[in-house]
Amino acid sequence: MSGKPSDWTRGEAAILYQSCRSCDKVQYFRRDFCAACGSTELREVRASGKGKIYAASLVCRAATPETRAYVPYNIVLVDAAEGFRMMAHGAGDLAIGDDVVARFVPFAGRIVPYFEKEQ
Amino acid sequence: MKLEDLAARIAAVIEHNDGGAAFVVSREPTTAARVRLRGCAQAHTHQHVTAAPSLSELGAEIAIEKAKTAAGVAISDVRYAAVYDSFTITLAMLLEDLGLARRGEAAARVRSGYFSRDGELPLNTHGGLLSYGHCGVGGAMAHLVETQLQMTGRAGNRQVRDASLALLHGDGGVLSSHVSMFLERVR
Repeated sequence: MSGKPSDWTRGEAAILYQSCRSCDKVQYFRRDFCAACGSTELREVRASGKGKIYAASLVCRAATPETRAYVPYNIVLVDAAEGFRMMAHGAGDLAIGDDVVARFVPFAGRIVPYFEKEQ
Repeated sequence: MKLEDLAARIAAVIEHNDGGAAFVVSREPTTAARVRLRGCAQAHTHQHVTAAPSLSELGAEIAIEKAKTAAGVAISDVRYAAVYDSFTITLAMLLEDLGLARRGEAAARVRSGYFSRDGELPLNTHGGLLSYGHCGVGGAMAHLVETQLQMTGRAGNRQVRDASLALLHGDGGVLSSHVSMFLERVR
């Protein structure tokens, strides 16, 4: 491994989050500083992909022509095991509280995290 | 029922359209009834929904509590309400967060006519964003314009009986930013 870690937003099958070296808080949205304490000492960490469903919304009307072929698809909020919350795709049968794990699937020309029930 | 039909029934969304709204703030009275800002407060808890503290404890609850204190009024004093309604679900959630309906009872209260022109608490009588339209910032301003028309008795065939004390609530972002404002009519 060399260089900066990459994630699904750049085409790599991984979820990254930031962890603050000063206060240990974690955040999913990449920033130059810690949203809790303001420190710029942030570490990029690869997430396990495990989590719990916080909310699920079934999208039945496509927002763009490119996503029309995918409806209906489930958009979920996941509370990651590492302590941050993220939005992602998910299996159609997911319910609030389900333990889930991520894999990566193609969606409208890119890859996205896709959560399904942990076996 | 097909999923698409279900979605069309339960997930009403605003139509973006052209338009605008305007109001003039004047120190000199322009009508017999004047409108005074009684109290206002705001709360900003997050930007993206993944950073929201909890989807069952939105900033609307913080804003309305502070605004009630600032204005020295109770929700039961409100005679007209103007509540931001970008989606059906947004309005239902805000009605409950603001205390205009109990948890889980907003829809039933709407159906019973509680919020209609001749109901207990007339709401968004111009149609709101969902029916009147949403032209961006002007769409939200239309709530304020309608409130002013109601409070000054100039709302035509939409005129309610008594708009002496009004509550305005605005919501921006993804349930992120909330402003609650009480307006009162003075003569």
